[in-house]
Amino acid sequence: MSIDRDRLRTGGALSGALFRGALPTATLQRELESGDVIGPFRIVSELSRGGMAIVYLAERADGEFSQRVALKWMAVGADRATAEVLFRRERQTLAGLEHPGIARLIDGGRTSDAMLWFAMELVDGEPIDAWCRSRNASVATRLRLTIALCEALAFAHAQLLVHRDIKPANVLVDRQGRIKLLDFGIARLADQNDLLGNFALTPRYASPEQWRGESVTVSSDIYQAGLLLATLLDVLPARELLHAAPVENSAAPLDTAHDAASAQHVTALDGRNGVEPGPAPLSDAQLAHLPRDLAAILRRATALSPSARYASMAAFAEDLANFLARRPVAARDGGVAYRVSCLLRRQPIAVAGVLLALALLATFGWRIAVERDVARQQATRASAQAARAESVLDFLYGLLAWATPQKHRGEEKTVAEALAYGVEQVRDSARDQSGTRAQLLYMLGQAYSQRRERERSRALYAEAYDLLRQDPASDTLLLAETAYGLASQLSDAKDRERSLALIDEAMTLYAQHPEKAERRIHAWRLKAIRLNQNGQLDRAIAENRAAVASATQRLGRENVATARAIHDLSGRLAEAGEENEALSLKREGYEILKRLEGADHPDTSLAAMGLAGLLIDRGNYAEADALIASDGEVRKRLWGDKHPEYARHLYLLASYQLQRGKTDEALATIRQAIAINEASGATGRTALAMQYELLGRVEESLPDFTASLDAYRHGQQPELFGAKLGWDGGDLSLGAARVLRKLGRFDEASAELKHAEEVWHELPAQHPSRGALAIEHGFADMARGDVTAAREQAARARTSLPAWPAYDAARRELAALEEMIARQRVAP
Amino acid sequence: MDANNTLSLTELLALARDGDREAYNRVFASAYAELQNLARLTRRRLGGGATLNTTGLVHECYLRLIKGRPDAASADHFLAIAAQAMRHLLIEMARARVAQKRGGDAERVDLDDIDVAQTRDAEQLLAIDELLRNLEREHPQQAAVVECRFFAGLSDEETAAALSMSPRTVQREWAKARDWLAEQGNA
Repeated sequence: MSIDRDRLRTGGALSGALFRGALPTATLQRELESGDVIGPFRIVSELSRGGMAIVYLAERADGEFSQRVALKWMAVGADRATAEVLFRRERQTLAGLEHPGIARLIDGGRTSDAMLWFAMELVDGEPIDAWCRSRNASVATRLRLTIALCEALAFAHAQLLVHRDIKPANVLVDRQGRIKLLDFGIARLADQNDLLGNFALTPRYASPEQWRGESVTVSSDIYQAGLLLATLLDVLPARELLHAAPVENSAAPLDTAHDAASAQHVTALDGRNGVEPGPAPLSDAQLAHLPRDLAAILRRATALSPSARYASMAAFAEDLANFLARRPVAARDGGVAYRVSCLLRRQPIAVAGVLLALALLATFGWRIAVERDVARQQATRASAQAARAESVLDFLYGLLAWATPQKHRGEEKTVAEALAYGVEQVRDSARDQSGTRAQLLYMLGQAYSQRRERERSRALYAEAYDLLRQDPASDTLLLAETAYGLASQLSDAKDRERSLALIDEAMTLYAQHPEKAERRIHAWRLKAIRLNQNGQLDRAIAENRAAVASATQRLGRENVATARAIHDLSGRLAEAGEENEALSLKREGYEILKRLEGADHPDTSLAAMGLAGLLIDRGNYAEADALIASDGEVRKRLWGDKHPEYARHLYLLASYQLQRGKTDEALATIRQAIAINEASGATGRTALAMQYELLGRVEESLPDFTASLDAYRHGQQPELFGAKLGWDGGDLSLGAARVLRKLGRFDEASAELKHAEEVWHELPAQHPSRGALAIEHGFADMARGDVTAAREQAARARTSLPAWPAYDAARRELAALEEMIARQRVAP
Repeated sequence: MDANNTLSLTELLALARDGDREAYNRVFASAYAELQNLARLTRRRLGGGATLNTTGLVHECYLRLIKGRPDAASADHFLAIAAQAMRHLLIEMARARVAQKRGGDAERVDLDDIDVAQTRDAEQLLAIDELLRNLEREHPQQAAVVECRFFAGLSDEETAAALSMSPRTVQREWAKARDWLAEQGNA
């Protein structure tokens, strides 16, 4: 079609008939006065006013009979032709809606100046939130009112009528304490008449699908009723937004990947970026003051994805009644025992996941807290796979039955054998359903991953992944989990690109499942880890930051996944020398985890160690002391004192002792750590390298330079640590160079320096590690007689070494170098 | 909600400028929602003779979202994103209008003049948007200028600041883009 060149001017799109036409309908709006006649009604007085409408008390003016109504005078002008049609249709439908909990729509129409009005049954009552507040109603009363609301809505839903605008102002409580739902059908009428359809929404209570402008089903009412209950329970501030005040929800994110769902619609419009506004989920912090079951009910009702909500109003009401009667609620995502008791009755497939987790528990009693999480994940995941329920369940029952003592004449099978048997079964069986097969392979892969049997786990994940990729109809969530699982097992340098590609794939797939936001954050964190292993520290930090921002946005700050992401970011910032930011983030992450998971959780313990490490670096001994001691206890209790996880505590303790000058104690401690790790075999290689590096430093300060050199060299063994050691390799080389210099072996020292330089060349110039490296370069320059170069190196070191105790040793070396330089000057 | 306030708009804009897509999306979503809000408010606020200051819309949007102290650099970057959101919003409206016309024909008794003008306007906007997507492939810079000037009503200077170009470049690109669009439209 032709385009007027005249249209193509500044603001042309905004000054056209379309946009202007949408705006000035309000200029027609007028207020009514007592005595005005609208349809068959005469206005008596004003009752209330809101953003969308003014409500008047009116009475019948045609004298046929006496009737008082609430007349709603809409702010939105009507489209003349369609209004008539809509009214006719709507009036017929609403006529059948006779329920004590629903205020009847009596009449409605459009005036000659295009204004819409509705006459409704007059209800003498108060909005539900104000009613509860003024009477200081108990939680039980608030719940009973909500149940009554659900029942009224269920009645309407049964007639395929959706309310679409449930909010406190539309739910009144009358003098008898009964609820009355107002405005049924009006939101829908208004929507269909308004060019700017969604503008008619009450933003605070709009469901995600309403924000997206999608067709709205009963599930949207469930969401809104859930938010209403949240308001009544003080989860959300009980403030009615009559005028479009800034809407908290409007800044909610749509994450890149979330758009995938609506990508077609959106990209068609924009070509580059498609986003729509929408609400954020209720956060843990908001729900913290509620009983856990009640919080779970709210979470389920207000899940962002309609499929994750209650299937019906009746189910929502039933769970609320369950809670009131202290029965287990369906929404509760609780511990293993809770799950088992509930799920045995309700969700047999979820039991499969729990059983597998319990099977793992049998061998891993010391990791109970970790297993609890696994069990939870398994249960959630398994419940989503209803179609494959039967065969997976059969399989797991078979597996466990096989592992029971009776079947083997009292000879108890270990879980390891049971798993091996399981793999055999899956591979041999004629289970032709590739989805089922992949699911089983995936679960077994996960079991092996828990057992830290990397090779087996990787093979199983890879097999599951290939199966799923061959089947275009395969479950995207399972594919995401499998891609992520496989990526997590591909940590060798040669597999890193593949691992990164799999992570990206998993993240894209998770994004199609908004309820999997946590999993997506985990994948994101893994991405940062892989990038860092690649030596791309800057990119890793950027990804970590993005992951924290996304987690904060989608899950809330007070959330376990967010806290873990913060922990990661902090660790990486510390590597980059950004210790101030690292410390404050580390502290925040630790505090969050302690609040949510308790001090005894492995994640909390890990965060405690990270925090203690930074505190030691900064010389904040008082705070570090207490943390290290209590965390040592926790680790011993969780893992026992022969486990690599306990050795990590010893490593931290040893570096603490070294820094405080307790060299003998440090030596004993670090030797104990190394002994544990060497005895445990394949695991913890990087940890072992770090432990040798620390041993080297302890010996160096004793000072036993030969023993120290041995330790550094030992840490460098390529057969122990693979081709690339990462940043830690630099520390080992620097240590070796320093000792070699002290032993007078300058040539060897310079080779080590070169290696450290290669490893660290991506670190910022001001990084403390590079400062320490400059000192050794300075000594090398002096050995060659190049005083000018040495002076430059010393100056560089001076500016990049922080004043913290962790660098005391380095500063002593620097002082020695500077003294040597000064002596050269006086005696040329 | 707490979570939404953790990163300020300024921080988000800084992230977005560094290529953080998530941050960009959040700014876009906020801008879009706020523009919707503002359009609705304006609709109510306008008296009979009041004229709408088109540029005012995106500026006011920024001021409502920023909450803290406005800062010039982030405001400029915000305008660029808000212009994209404004385009998105207008095209949504245009689509709704055209769809309504198609779907409603059977029921519609008479179409008044306003209806005709609005539908024609909507069709024009959709045509321009279509062409703009072609232009985006060939001359993304020109397309961005059209977005700021035509859809968001920004001046030469504002567009220049939003897109980090010189005002002269903006004028040149704007003239080229207009010629091209008019020519394509009449081809």
